[in-house]
Amino acid sequence: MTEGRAKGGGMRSEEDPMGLRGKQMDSLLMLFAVMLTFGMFPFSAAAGRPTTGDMLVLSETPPAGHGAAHGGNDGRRREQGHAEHRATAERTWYLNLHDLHDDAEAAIMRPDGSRAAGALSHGRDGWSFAVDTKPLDGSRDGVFNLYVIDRSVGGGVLTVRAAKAYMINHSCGWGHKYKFDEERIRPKHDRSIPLEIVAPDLWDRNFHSKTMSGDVLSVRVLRNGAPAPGATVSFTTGSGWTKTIEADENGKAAVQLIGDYYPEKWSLFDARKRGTVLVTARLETPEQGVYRGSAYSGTRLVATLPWRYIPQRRDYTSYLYGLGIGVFFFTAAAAGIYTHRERRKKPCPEVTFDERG
Amino acid sequence: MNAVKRFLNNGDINRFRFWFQVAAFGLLIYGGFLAVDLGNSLPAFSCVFAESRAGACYLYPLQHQVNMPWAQFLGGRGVGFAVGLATFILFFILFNKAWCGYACPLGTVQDWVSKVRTALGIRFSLYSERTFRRLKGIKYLLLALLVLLPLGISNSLVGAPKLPHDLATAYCMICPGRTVLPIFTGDISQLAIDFSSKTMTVLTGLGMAITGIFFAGSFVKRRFFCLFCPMSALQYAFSKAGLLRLTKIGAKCTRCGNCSRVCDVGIREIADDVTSKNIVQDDCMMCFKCVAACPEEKCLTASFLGIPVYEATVEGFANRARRRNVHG
Repeated sequence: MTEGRAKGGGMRSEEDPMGLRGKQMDSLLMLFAVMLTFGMFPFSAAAGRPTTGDMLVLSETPPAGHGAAHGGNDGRRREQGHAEHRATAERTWYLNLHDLHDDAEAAIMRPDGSRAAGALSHGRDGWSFAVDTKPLDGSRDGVFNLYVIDRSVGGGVLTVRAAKAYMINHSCGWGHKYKFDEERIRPKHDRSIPLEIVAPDLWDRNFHSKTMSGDVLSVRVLRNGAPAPGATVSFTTGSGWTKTIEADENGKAAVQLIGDYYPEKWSLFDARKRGTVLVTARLETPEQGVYRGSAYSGTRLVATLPWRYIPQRRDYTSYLYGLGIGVFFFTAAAAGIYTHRERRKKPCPEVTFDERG
Repeated sequence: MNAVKRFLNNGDINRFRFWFQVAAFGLLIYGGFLAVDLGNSLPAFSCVFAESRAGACYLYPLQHQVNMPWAQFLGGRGVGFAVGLATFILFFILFNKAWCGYACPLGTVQDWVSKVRTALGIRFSLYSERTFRRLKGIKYLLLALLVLLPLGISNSLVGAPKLPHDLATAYCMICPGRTVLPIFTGDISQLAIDFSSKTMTVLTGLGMAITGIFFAGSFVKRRFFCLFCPMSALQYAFSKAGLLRLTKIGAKCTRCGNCSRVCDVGIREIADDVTSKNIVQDDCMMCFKCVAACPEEKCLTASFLGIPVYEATVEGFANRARRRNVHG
């Protein structure tokens, strides 16, 4: 076990399946209690999606109670949510909360590193902004960073909520010309973002998301582009499992995603079942200042990054059956060929005669 | 110039082909380690399931690209499909069916299996003409299914319900290239049965069954799988436009049968047909062993852009026979 993992507590064992021990377990239980008390628990296990809490979370589907519930075409949007490899000309992203402040801003960083401002608008599905994804010149083939930053001062504290999402915008039909372009593949960050979560290993060289249950999900928390040691990082899955750890001196935190998909019947197993995980980073600093005429004596930063994962391949595959079938057919074919050859052997047509006769 | 031609015509095409195949195999299967990317439209089984590949076999994107509603064929995705097909055709016409004989990694694996059999002193098998004709139709059936199944996922074909998404790359699931080629990169994950759905269970089970038969068949029958290969069927549609050609002057042919006997696939027309100039058949892989085995002066010729690059000559035939007698 590496030091980083040990610190992060990301590895699990049979005795301690969630990798929690002693004081860490106690503190987590306390944290759970506090979160429940103040309504901060970010995911509802029953619904499998974020509840409001105080965090801003970006999603490609409208928040609960909107869209389909209002007669909208949720089916189309859900389809759009799976649209990484069915590129569309424009994709819309929604926020989970309505309480954005006037100066909230959306920002877009394209796969080539170029930036654009997002136009936030409020409609029946809440706050949203659209992202132009037309593959005009290749600048949009890859992974977008999407941000919404909201600031407010209350009780003498500046609260900064930074919602981030990675949006894969790729069609295999465009080809894979960036396959070996390390700069294009590498996840980017924006130094102007007050608190940002960067996850380095979520997609492959062809821009296919690759996270599976059981994988170690590692992230880095950055404060204006610099590591943010001591940030509290929570990983919460859609099924309600959560784990909170502290970022190390490099701002890194890692956790092993649990396997949380166990359908009642084997025949119901869906290999593409998308689990969700929300990564949250919190950092409080004694920074003082004045924001829009209001003085503050402390700063509270909250960053979020949603992602998804699918079941581990070994959950539904079998080498034993595969090799068994392969060996059986090899043997049967070889036996058939041998038998066929033996049958076709004809006796030597030599003429024998008795010399003495 | 004549000296160069004489050198080529006297050459040992089998040795050249062996080393060319080794190089092509290395490039296509491991080229990704050197950041080589030849695109997704290669006319050879450079399998997409081999992570370090330098380019992808066109059959995989073809299945993806035809998986769309009819209306979208006229839109942007239709353009993507057309570009993919055009790229495939351009790659293909450059070397014609020599892609099979010289570059296809799965064909190379079959040749290596055949070499093991030869080393063990076990004789090879041949199909009867009747069996050969029956079996060669399978590749056209596979090609038709390869296109129709993905089409049937996005469209209702002749009023039938849409097919499950798991059939999106059905051919790849049963192709021995998927199970065999990743092994050379240390990846054995494709040898497992996928139980995630009934369709995937059947397809991957069929894939492993075919893999077992592939090894047994390749051991006794040279280029066993090529007779069933849908890539070969697709290639043949554009073969006449190929820049690399194999031609025959029937008047010079004595029908000795040498060419047919050395043919790995077992094509009889190469010896029997004395009327066609373009002698490339759908099963031909343009290995040019027939040219090397032909004792008649300029009876068989491999040419590129009309320029002869390898011709049957009496001198070349005699030299090769002498070398074979000396070296065994």
